[in-house]
Amino acid sequence: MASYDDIQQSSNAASVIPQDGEIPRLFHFDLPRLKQTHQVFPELTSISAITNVLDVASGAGEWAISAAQASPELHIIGIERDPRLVEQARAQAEEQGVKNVTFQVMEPFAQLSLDADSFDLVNARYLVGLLPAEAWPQALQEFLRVTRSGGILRLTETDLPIANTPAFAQWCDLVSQAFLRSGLSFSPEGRLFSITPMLKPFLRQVGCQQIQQVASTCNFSAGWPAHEEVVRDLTRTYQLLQPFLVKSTGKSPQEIEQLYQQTCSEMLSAKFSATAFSLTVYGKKA
Amino acid sequence: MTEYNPSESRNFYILGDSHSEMVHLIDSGRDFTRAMGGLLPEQSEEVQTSLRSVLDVGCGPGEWTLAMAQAFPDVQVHGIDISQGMIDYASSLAHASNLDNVHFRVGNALDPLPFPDNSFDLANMRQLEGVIPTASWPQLLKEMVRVVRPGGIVRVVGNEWCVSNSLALETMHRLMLRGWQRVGLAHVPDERNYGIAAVQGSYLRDAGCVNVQERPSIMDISIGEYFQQSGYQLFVVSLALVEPFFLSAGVMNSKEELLRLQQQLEIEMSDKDFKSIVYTLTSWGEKPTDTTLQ
Repeated sequence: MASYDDIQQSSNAASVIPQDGEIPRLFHFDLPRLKQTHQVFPELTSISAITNVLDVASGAGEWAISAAQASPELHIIGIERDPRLVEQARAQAEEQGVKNVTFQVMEPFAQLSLDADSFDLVNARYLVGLLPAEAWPQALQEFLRVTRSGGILRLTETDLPIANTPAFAQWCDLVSQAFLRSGLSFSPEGRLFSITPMLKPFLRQVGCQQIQQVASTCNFSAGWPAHEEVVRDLTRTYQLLQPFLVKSTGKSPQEIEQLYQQTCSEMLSAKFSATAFSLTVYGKKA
Repeated sequence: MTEYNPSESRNFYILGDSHSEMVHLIDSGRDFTRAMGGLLPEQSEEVQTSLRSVLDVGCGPGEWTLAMAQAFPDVQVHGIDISQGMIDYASSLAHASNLDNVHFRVGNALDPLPFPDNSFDLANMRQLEGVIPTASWPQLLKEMVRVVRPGGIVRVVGNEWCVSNSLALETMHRLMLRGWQRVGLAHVPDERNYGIAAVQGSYLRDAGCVNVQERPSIMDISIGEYFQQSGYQLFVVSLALVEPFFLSAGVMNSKEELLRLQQQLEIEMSDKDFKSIVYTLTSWGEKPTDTTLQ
């Protein structure tokens, strides 16, 4: 197992510090299964009609590169606001010799400089926190515009991971409360994000048809296959979240840093037991 | 109204161990079976056809146990529960359905299970996170592994109950979770999650199971969805039934407070914008054989 220092080092190397308390994408709970099964869209019975895929807010290309590797017949375009992340994604794809993925700098939650009806599938994953709660319908409307008729709009979100250790729980509570106060949450009181029950109604609202919901789970307890990868991801993304938490909770940078350090060391303890449910909701454009 | 006094009675039925609880458990059990996609939706055809004997721990009024006996006429299905009332009710349902391959007996899951080693092909435990004290889980799982034959399966189904956009429903969960913390039913140190989903796989592994796997399922109880009415029953009815638990756990001060929450819950769960999903996790593992141990 990797030591805490190893994980810190590799995460620092891979991170771009968000500007002005901006929120990074926090979760990648779909990646361990994607890497293990090489199934990009495990919920779809056939992917023969899918070639052109858009990955919204592609970050450092985490999903897009893995998906492109798993399915060489796909052509994936990732769009991302932060040019430094786009550079990272390009470098990563290059380094791994993945040819069927490209990345563009583009604001993902505004009008997209992409043609209408141009993608077979638009994938948007773990966006909660990246845009205000009330901005979701308009963003989804725009994702659907660039989806071809009969194509698929696919959303994956989590309401927050669950673990058996106190600092982890306190950290999640802080994040949930901060999201609520910042207008990013769908919860009436901040227990969880309450994003997953909203996804189907959102797709219905923008006019999708044949909407389906599929749950998945990622067990990242100590000793489980996904543990090391998920802990590395959370160690990195939770680190990047610190400025936002300082800004939105009234706690001092020292308090946040201390809770972060405790959370990270708990995740590496042998007794750490944790899971995250994700919900994938997808529908067809008429 | 029944008292909630588990340390005295060693009976952790939160909902009161009453006739209304039996009816409630039968209904919600059927809904969960449907939402999960069957009685053993995660098990391969090969496992299902090889079953000869199955144990259901904490079977309550026997909803899953009876449905198993009906679906698998060649399988002997045993149910055990702490409550004589539940077992009488389950037995009368078995009698009424002319089922002779189902067997119920009273027994406390906190004691050693009253069966010899290697008796069953599969031992099941469904939604007992609200009745088995946290401290007793490791021992109970070990007992389930003991009574299953090598290569047999131990299966645990747990709920994280739900996530919603209703203040009353989220408040009900907060109160329930606070109560669970106070009486020793919580599996995680927070008042936001029931936590069973985070730990049941580890419990199975720590009890000696190999090839531990997990499968999630959901029940969408939002307005207009198939399970809307089930969700309403699940939470509005159970909120009325949990009164003794809420009062004795001290998470609520008065019946009036509970009544107000219940009225609010009825309103919000009937609202045109009500959205909520119940998350369920099935975890299962095999008792090692000499070969799988190596």
